[in-house]
Amino acid sequence: MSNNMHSLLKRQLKQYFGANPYSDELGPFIDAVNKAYFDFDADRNMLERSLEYSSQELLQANSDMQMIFQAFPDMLFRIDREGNIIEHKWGNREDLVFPSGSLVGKRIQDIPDSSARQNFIKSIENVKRSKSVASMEYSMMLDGKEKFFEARFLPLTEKETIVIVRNISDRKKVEGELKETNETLKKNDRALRNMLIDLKKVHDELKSAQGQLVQSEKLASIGQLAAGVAHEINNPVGFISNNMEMLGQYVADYGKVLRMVENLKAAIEQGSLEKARSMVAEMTKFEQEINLDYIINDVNNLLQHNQRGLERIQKIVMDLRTFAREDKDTMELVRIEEVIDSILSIVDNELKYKAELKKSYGDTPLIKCNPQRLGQVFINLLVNAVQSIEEKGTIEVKTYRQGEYVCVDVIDTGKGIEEKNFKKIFDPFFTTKPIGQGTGLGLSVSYEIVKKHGGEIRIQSKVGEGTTFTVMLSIS
Amino acid sequence: MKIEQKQWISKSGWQPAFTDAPDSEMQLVFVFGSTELLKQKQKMDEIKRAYPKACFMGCSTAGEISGTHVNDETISLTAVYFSHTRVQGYSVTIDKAEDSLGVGEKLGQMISQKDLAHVFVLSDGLNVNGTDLVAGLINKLPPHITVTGGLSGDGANFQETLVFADGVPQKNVISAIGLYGDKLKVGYGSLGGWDSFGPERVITRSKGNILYELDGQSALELYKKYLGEHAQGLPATGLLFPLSLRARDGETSVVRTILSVDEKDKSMTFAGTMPEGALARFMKANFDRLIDGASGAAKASYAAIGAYSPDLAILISCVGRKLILKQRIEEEVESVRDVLGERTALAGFYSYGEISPFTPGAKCELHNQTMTITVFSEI
Repeated sequence: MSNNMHSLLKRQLKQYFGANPYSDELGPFIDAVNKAYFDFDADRNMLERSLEYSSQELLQANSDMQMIFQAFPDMLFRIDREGNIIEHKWGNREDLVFPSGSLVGKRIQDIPDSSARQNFIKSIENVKRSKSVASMEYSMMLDGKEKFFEARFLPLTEKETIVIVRNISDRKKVEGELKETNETLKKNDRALRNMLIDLKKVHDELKSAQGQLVQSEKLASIGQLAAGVAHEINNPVGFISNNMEMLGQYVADYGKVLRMVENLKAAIEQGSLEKARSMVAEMTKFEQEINLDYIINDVNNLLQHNQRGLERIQKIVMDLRTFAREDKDTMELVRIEEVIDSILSIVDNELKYKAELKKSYGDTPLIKCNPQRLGQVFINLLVNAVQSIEEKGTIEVKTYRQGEYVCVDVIDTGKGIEEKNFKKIFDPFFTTKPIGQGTGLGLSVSYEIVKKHGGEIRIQSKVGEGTTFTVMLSIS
Repeated sequence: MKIEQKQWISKSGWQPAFTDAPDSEMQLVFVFGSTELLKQKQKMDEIKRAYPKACFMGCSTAGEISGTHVNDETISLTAVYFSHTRVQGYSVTIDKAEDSLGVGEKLGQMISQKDLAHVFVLSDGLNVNGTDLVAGLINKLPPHITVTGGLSGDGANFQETLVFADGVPQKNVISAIGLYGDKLKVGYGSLGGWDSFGPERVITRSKGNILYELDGQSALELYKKYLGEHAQGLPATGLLFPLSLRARDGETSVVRTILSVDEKDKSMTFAGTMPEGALARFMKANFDRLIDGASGAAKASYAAIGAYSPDLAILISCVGRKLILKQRIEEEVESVRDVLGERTALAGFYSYGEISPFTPGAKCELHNQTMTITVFSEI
């Protein structure tokens, strides 16, 4: 029998055996029971100790979590499926919806104003159904100010949801300002767009006006050239007319000779040789009189001359027509010299009385261009050149290749241009000519045409010595 | 102070037996017995005949304490004669637990305050919110007046509790005795010895002393999970896991035990208020710590009385302790005896709730799962 007996066993032995000691036979059994009691106690103590330690750890973890939880500036709510608040934490003091007290047991949807309530209920439903995060924004009046909040709903367990409510008033304010700025920008943008549309319209109108100007400028140059052109035509018409008179005379003489031949034929048939002889003599005399051999020769000359005159007229008319017609935006591969020649035939009459024309054509490649429009450029340059020559001078047209450009120099020995006007001469409506002589558009139109051909017009001039305009046209 | 103690045990009747001559000297008789026995008119008449002038104070129990013995289905009787102290009994009835505060105040108002030294109170154990009752009672009493007592019991049945009023044990009654005079010394101590364990849970739904949910989940289901096969024994087995309760603002925690369970609305009724938002934690018992607790309560009461060896000690201990300690239950009474000494008469009962300040000078409160001792001595 152990000296150290478990208190319960001692109590039980006393209760059941009283003061009488139990028999020795029971001794080992009692010892075994006693040991079992102590073993149970030891086991229980160990279990209790482990429970104690795990509880402490649990509480520590819990309190750590609480600390983290409390550190959030946001309001946090743990709610059940119906929105009942199980646990909550206030965020910043200024967000206090209720001055004090716990919200536990209240429903989260009852906190905000009625306007947000339905959204709360919907969000709770959403989270329940989809098990995914839902969020919403709402506003409330706090201390007379409208505060904005964002509520995010995160499923925690089957039955619980975490709701994080953040005061987003500051963010909203910034957003509002941004929105305002954006609105202003949008408005400005709209205004700019409208302006752009207007500008485009104006530009289109200008373009159309420019087209009209180009055309009218062209017609104006034709007008200026009309006299010269008329003269050019009149000249062949004159000599053709004279030749025709001569040819008429010749035809009358031919008629007389033919009639004499008829009479001679009749006399021979009648057998009257005498008569025939006298008629031959008369004919010979007439032939000598009219110099028939010369006439036969001259008729050919006159016909050939007339033929050339007609061809000349035909060419002038054709060049003029080509130049004057409404142009199409078509580009052709041409030699620049051909373009210059066709223009020279139109302006020839303007030129020849005041200037000696010198042509020196180089070996230039074909270029892609609109010949009509380039023609207009050369008319302008040549007419300007002529007009710059006060009495008599020379105009030289020179073509050559320079790098990737075909260049045409129009060089005059006119009065020259003052340097201060160099920049202005390509401005529309700038002119130094007397009223009626120029539109002020010639060079500006020329400049635009050359620019469209990927080229440019350069100018060199010295007052009193003359001017050189160089038209550079891109080969590609 | 003169004390006479008797015990009724089924096999031997009253021990020691009553003499034929009534004792008209005794002023106060404490009677603690099982509900069944207290309902037996014959036995009650017998007691009244024996002490014709005495004020009866007693109740049904979940175990009677006579000396260092703890019994069931017995009656523990202690008759007291005070040399210098007057006794006055008061009682009120209570219809429903919600009325507890008002009923407590009513009782407090009834108690004459002249020369009042101490109030000892016994309450119906089921149909009451002990927290409110104590609050109401002390509301109407001067702050220096100490109040101790307890809630009556009904074994592990939780069916019907009785409290003496006008000499008759009755349902729905709250009784108090006022002890008057300046020669009476009263000491008290109350201690549990339970340990909290597991996570702290938030009371998320409750009404008064009815608890529905912890952490948004049914509290009843939680208990059933922890009790396993012992869930069958609810509400009694719920006492294995009392709840330690603390308000959020760091108030000292109190212990709460179950009085009843309602399967229909999944609710549990506790002896005291279960405020929403308070933090609750399960508690577990350790034999040695419980016994140390009882011993600690005895030391506190002994110290409070000023190291006089007390004449009488009324022990009110929680039924939960009895359910845990089982065969070892007497060890806690013996530990009280060890502190107070052989001279002191011990009597008392196992209750559904204890009433006492936790420490001398503190506010009187309802406790659960404690050993609460009130010691009396006359100088």
